[in-house]
Amino acid sequence: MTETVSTPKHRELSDGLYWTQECLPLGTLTELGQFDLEEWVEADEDVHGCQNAYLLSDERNLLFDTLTQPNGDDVVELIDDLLEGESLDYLVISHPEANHAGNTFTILDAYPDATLLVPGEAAGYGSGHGAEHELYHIASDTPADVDQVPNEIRYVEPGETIDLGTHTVEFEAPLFPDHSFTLWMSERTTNTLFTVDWMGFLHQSSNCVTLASDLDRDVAVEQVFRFHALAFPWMRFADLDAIERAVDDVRDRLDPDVIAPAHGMVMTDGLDTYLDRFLEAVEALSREGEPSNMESKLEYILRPPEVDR
Amino acid sequence: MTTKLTDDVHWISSCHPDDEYHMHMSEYLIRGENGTVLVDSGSSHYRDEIIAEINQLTDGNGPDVILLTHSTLPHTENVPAFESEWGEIKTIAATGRFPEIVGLPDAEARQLNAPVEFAGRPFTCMHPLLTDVTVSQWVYDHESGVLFTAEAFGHYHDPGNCDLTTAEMDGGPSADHVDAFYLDKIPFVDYLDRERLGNAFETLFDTLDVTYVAPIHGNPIPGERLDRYVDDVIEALEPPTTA
Ligand SMILES: [Zn+2]
Ligand SMILES: [Zn+2]
Repeated sequence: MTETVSTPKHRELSDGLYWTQECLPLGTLTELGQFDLEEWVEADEDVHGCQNAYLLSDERNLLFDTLTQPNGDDVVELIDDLLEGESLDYLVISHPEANHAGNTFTILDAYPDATLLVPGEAAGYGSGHGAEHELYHIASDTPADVDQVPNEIRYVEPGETIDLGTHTVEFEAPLFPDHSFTLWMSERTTNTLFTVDWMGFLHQSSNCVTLASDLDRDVAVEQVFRFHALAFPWMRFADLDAIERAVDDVRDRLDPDVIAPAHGMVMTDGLDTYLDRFLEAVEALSREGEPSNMESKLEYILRPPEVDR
Repeated sequence: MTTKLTDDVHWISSCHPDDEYHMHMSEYLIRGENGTVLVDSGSSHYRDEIIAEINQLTDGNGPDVILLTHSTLPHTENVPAFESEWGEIKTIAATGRFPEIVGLPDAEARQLNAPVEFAGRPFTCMHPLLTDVTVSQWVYDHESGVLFTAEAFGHYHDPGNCDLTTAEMDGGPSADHVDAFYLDKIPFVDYLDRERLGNAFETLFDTLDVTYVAPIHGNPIPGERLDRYVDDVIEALEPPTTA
């Protein structure tokens, strides 16, 4: 099987809010022997991971994340199409990881008037050693002298807003970050919360770029579990009460109508159900981190070379 | 600068300064039976000095294999530059699939949880017990007993302690330097069950005979100092009482 990243697909979520998605074929059930997928995928069906980026087309236009480098030219072409000849005003990078930010300089090059907005504050308690270094060098085509890039580059922090016309975005402190420089974003008119790595899930090849409520099957805990096991390996050692408090904070304080993740499907209905599924998934994940499981796992992993021969 | 850690493991390090302290950006060069393995490619910021150190260690030939502990930028940016310096180098990405989406189109995907030979020497790559991004791995060198890690086991250091192991540092790394590093790099400390993580570290070092833990962002820690060091890490993961 040749594994290649699909070219970007897209869907208009609401007036001027576009969802673009590229898929990563992970194989079929037989190829994923270690997965227990019966519940939600057929034997001959491809399982996909994905990357999402979101475009707001308004009086001013904003792109949140970039998809990945194999799709650099396609991403620029797609933005061009969706903006119908208008220019991009803002490119926002949720965090400096290649699968979120890999096309940064390709896009800035195509839109020299666009301002690059990057997280300027560490997401945890720290001040963030080496911020400038981490944040500027976010793509392998980063110019040697990044100061010479004509685009304005600006640090943004939670609480800052950008008025796009009918839409207004606000940057949020992420409740579930991985990299220490991470920002979530919300959009006020649609009450959408862009949760970056959190609340993703794997999907079946028949369900690319489809709203969670329109999928041809319900979302299984296993889909959510597998994704979070990959994206947040530390959840094996999670304090479940602390996780639940953070989820309650999402429900009560942020209270979104739409959750738009970077690696799953956009959720527009019954958000509580998906949040509950996440809690079930993280509970299952935390069982992997129990001492007895870790012991057998580490003994297996760390067996010396001669055992293998 | 380069420091000899064991007979055939060399620690190459650059220091990223802040107002008060330094952070290591390290690579390790291992001499195998049939060639050399470079663990990590360092930061593009320090590219010239890294190339000079490697040239010295390899008689200008460069490494035969690059084994990455994390496939995030800026840590992968030097791979293309190294290849234009020394020609094609077998590169193992810290990801199981799609190395092209982490910006490494020519790299091979990793194989985890079983010994794999590089330069005639067996290494086992594994998922880190604690790290930030998912595209990372820890690497155990069976012959030297060195475990290479990112981001766990990192800590800041004072100027003057740049090329010392933690055993050679007066009193070892300070609890403040460990603490500050974790608060900077591990933004999810509030959600960790520290007891269970501590148990996992203990199991790891009971299972594995480690001569050194060799972090990308800290001074190497000799095996006999690990118990105390792990205690400091678990302590550091206690969230501050005032946010
Ligand atoms: Zn898909
Ligand atoms: Zn130093």
